[in-house]
Amino acid sequence: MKGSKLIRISNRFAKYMFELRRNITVVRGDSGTGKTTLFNMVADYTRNKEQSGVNISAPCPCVALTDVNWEAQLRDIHESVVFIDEDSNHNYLSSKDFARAVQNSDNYYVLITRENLHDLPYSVEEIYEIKKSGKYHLFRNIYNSQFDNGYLHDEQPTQPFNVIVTEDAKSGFQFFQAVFEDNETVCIPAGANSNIHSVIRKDPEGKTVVIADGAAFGSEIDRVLKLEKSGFRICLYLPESFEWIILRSGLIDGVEDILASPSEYIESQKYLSWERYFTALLTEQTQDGYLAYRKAKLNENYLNDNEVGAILSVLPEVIRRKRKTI
Amino acid sequence: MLNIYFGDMPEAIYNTSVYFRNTYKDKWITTELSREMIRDIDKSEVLSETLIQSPIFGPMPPTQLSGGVKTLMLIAYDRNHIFNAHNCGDNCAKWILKIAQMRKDRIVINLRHLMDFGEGEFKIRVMNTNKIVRNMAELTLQAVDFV
Repeated sequence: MKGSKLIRISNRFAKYMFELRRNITVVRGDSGTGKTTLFNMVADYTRNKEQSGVNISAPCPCVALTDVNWEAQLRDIHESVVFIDEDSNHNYLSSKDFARAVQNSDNYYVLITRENLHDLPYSVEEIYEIKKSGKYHLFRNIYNSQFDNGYLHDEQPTQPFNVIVTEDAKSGFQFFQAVFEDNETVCIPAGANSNIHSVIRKDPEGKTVVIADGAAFGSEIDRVLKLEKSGFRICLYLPESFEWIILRSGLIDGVEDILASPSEYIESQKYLSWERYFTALLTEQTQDGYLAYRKAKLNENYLNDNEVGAILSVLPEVIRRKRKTI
Repeated sequence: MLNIYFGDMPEAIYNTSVYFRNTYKDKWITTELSREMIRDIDKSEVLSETLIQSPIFGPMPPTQLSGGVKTLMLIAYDRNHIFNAHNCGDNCAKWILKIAQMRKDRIVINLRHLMDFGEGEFKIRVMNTNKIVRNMAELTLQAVDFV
């Protein structure tokens, strides 16, 4: 399934309106905000359709996963928005079986849970809380930043950083290492998203910049940001992915429409999360050219002055200004 | 003292709303603690043991309270079980600390997320590491590997 989905759900007590842009949306936040009420309304509709008295306006079916045998129920659901509430399920949301089911699915999912779900790649932009005013309930991003080119969190922007952590040692790491690593700054590949918090904890004195794929960092952002409560200084920069930065830099022609509304182009069954699509897109758009992109090993042409300048222009100033002088 | 086990804990009751619906006692609803929690979290007023006035739903039974409030009452009044507090948002944290202070015995809860217990001091044993922590800075470092 692809495309954004504007959904309105209402009954005599409550009205919900929200837009889903990706295959996985997570809803959490304070108790008493109406999360389970939303799920119960969709569940009533799933059982009784229009005779439930619940009104649903959506471009595709909305279904609540209510069966104990969730795998059997899910097998029969296609091209739908599937709602799951941790309070109503049987504790399978964090299972590898559920992650596998989502991976092979043509549905979108609204997961009402506070668990981090480390086996699911979901975006920091699709984590919401519910804000209500009387009967009216709206989704609001929990992680919001004013920066245009990804999510940026830096509570101490004037303090220089001395560590850059990336998820792995592939092209993105190789680029940042070539451009930033010097006597003052070290670049470290964490090996996996789930190791990033461990790398941060190894440097309690300095300041760490985390550059990771925002498209798949949803399961990590809470515990990484909470390290600030323990005194760790963190700048968290989460573009969709390194490939998205290159596509966004202006070096690649013909991708403007896609970047303006990725939802309309990304088939969720083929690309579980957006960074996989952007890797495929960049690889395809540059094949046989001088910027031919390979994820495993950075094409050295990306380290030419012009290319470095274009790529850095996408990054926030707080990172960009630390570029080493050659 | 409050004891928290972070991560998977098979013996903890996970679906607290179902458990509450089938086991709660009427007298739990009208205690001063429950009245305060229901007022704070659900913005609702307890009218009697069987009736609560909600600004959204109007008059409703206790079973229609939020999952967070139901879990708090189970933690406060059911001393025979361990509950997963996954459906307690951060706005329930101060109440968990208050329940732990009111109850003189050892309280155990299970969490799979890092609940924010606020800026103040508290006393919590992280069962995974058997360390006692006194603020969020210490709690975060003890719990972050398990959530």
